[in-house]
Amino acid sequence: MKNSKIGNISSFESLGTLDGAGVRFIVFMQGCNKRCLYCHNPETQEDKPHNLIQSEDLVQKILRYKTYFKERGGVTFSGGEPLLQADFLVEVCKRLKAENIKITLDTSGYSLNDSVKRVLQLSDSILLDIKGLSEEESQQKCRSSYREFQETIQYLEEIQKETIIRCVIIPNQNDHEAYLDSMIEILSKYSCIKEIELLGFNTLAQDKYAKMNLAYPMEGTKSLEIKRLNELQKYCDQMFNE
Amino acid sequence: MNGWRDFKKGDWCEKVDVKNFIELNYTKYDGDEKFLEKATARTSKVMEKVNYYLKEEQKRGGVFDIATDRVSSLLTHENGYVDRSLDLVLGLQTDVPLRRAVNPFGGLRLCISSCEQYGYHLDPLVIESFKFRTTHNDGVFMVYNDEIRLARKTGLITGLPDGYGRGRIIGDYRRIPLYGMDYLIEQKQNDRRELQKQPYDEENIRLIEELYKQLLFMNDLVTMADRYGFDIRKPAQNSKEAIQFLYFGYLGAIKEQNGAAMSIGRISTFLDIYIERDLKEGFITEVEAQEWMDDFIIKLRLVRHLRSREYNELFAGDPTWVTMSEAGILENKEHLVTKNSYRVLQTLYNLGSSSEPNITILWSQYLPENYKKFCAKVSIETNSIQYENDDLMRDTFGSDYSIACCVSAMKTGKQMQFFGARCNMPKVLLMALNGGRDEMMNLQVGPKMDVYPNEKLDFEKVMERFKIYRDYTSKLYVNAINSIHYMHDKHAYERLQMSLHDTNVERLVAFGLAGLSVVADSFSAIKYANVYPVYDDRGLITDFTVEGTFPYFGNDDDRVDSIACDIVKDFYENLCQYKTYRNSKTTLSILTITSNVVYGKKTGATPDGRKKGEFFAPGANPMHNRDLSGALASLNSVAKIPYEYAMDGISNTFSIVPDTLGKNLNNQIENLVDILDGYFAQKAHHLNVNVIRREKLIDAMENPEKYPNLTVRISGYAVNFNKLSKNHQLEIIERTFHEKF
Repeated sequence: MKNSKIGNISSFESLGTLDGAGVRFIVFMQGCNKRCLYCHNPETQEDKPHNLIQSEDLVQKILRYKTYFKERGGVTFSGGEPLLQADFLVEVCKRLKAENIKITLDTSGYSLNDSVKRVLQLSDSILLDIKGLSEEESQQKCRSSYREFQETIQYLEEIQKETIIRCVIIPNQNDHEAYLDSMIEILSKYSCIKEIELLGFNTLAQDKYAKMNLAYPMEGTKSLEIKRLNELQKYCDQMFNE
Repeated sequence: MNGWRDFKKGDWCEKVDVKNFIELNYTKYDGDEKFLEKATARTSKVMEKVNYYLKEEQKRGGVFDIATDRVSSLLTHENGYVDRSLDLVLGLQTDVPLRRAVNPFGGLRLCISSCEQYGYHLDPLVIESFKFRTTHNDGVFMVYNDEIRLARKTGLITGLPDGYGRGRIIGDYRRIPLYGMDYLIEQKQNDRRELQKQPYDEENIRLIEELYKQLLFMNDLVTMADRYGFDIRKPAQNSKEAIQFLYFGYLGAIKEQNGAAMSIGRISTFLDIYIERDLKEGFITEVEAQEWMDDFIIKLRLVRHLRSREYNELFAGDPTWVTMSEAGILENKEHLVTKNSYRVLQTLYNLGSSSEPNITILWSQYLPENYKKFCAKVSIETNSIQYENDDLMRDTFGSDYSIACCVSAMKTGKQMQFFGARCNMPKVLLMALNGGRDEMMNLQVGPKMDVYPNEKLDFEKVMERFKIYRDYTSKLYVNAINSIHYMHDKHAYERLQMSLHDTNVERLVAFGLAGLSVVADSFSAIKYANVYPVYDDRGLITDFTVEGTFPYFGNDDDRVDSIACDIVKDFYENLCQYKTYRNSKTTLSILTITSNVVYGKKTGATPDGRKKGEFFAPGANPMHNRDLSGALASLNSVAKIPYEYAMDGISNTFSIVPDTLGKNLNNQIENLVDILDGYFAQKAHHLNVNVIRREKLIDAMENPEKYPNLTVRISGYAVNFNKLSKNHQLEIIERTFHEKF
């Protein structure tokens, strides 16, 4: 059982403008229970101590950016898989709520326990990554449990928590409208989902894998062209709003 | 017609008080930018011509032409026009656009070499006319002692205005349209008569002499305006005259002087009063109002000064710092935004983006939302404006101050600055470690002491040495600046600009500190890691080995940020111990502009790990690649630097790719406003928002020293741009542009 007062952090980004609304302080947590082939933060995967921080110290650190948050901004917990440290996040989020800081959680879902549910409750909005449209796809691409994703989205629906679905589009894998149709069919029954955001696969992380002496899992795959991404996003928005 | 018709009366009617006039007569504007008008056909035609001149200037190596046959003054050049049939605001520095004037009063030798640098030769008659004249440069070198000379030679102090005009004086040009020259001349004559009744001590004699010179040039200005067909003896009748008369004041100043920073002041809200009256009277339309502002700004973009090679190395990019101070608020929290505040920004669309005039937004939490958003939009789309904290400066300077150069505030027409360039603080540290010996040139610059012994650097011991050499430097720095301003007053006094100041001005002397983050990180390394000196074969410490980690300035870490603050405070208090020329008040800036590169070249390796010759970060910026927690952590660190000890300004540059600011333009605008609000709420002073487009990112890759703290990000991705390989920097450049502009 992890000490709920101590968190394991990979890094911080103080100017987050693309990970939730407004200006956000991003906490990249260390450790992930998945292994997405296309992961662009491989340094966050291993669940080993990296930068250990007390919950109150993290709160104080986040408060240093309060003047930038104004109406829309706040903190985003990302990683890695933040829900691996749900106990820690409960401590931190309780304190942040008392300080009127808005919380966004960037997760791909996790099996529900009390702490996980509490974190989901305390967050103001959720960025939920969808790793696949079936157990097979999720396992094959990410060693990720589709069932966990379903559990999570169902719970979010239950508590009506504002959710934005994020999906990585990879050339020659899921970069076609039919995939989006299937995805929307699965997701359309959840009224808590505000929008679906598509993220174009990119090969930027290649540097990181090289520096970590790891083979690059996506060798041979090109980055998704911006033009195609924009087309697909437009299509997705259209279909989802219907 | 009475120039003051329909103006609300007040104190300003009985004496010169432009601030009072503005407060009583300006029209607040809370609306948005939709009323703004695009460029007229006339403006586009003029810009075609202007762009031709600008292109030619580039083709000819950066200087279009030089009027080598005459000395620059108010009446020595024939009238000049961009296009006589199209010009609205009249007047050029010389007879041809971009033809630079020759001003030997700052220094004849430098004037000659400046001409030759571009293949021109100063007319022998001009040189002859200065044979029996002492220039400012001559005067300064008559008195500089060996210590100062060595300090200059080694780059301990650089950029001293001892061979070029000191600038940093802003005439209150608004007085001319408001009062007319007859009244202003009469006031000065009265002042002079009053002084002549007082005992003739040295200061009084000098002031009487200065007033005489002021009056001479005030009359020259009237003649200059006459030659362009304008009578500026009486107050302006309408907005066209207001703009023209104000411009004549500024034009006279730049004909007389070639100061590094010839800033224009806080003029937009003032001019709006006339424009509003004209709109009401039906004398002009909004289209014309914008057209006149466009033409006025065109004239400001044509300002040029002849500079030497050394100057151009220090201050790259041919800057003129025609700084226009915009917005801000009154003491009672009412904002000063008018429609003209918008029109000035609109010129960046109507004429294309440009770094001159140097549009500086005086930001306050009380500014209207619409204006804040428009400023952010303009930043993102034109990358041409900078921001300063009015809520911070208003306490000291009130609501009618202007910014000189980049960050230096003073009460318009009531205060003047004695510009003092800057001191290389990392070099002071190295000098301290090397017992007064310069590590690059191996010269004994400071008092002799043993070189630091071959052992781990001890924080207390190093700090003690540092204080000794900092004190030595402070003393010689004050002496140098005193010499410079004594001589400039004597040999190159700013007659016209000072005539547009109150007779009894307050003087501020502006010292500077370069390399703050290098010194802060060096002391941090010494304190928190293990730093060992490495000696060369001359026995000097020219490198360091660092074992362990230490916090860097720029990560919102108090352990090192407090060191940076102490360095500033201690240097300021040190400087205050020495008597300044003419009882001027000591101020300090953390500002380098582009001289950070030159400073770095002249400085050896430092304990923070910086290599010999490597550039310093500009101004108060953290060193590149050391901001590990992103741009806001960097802003937080800089915000801690105490303005009370650095009232000449604390400069911070923030480079960003627009798409990294947000998913679409609206998000980008909102986020930038939030960033500015958040930063200034922490009592930070200044932010130069450098918005970089794709084309410039390649430049950013190759020349990181030009783009401090560049933030380039993609959603969800944890990265430091500078740590990427070149190829991946290229790719991220491709990836960060979501939208076409």
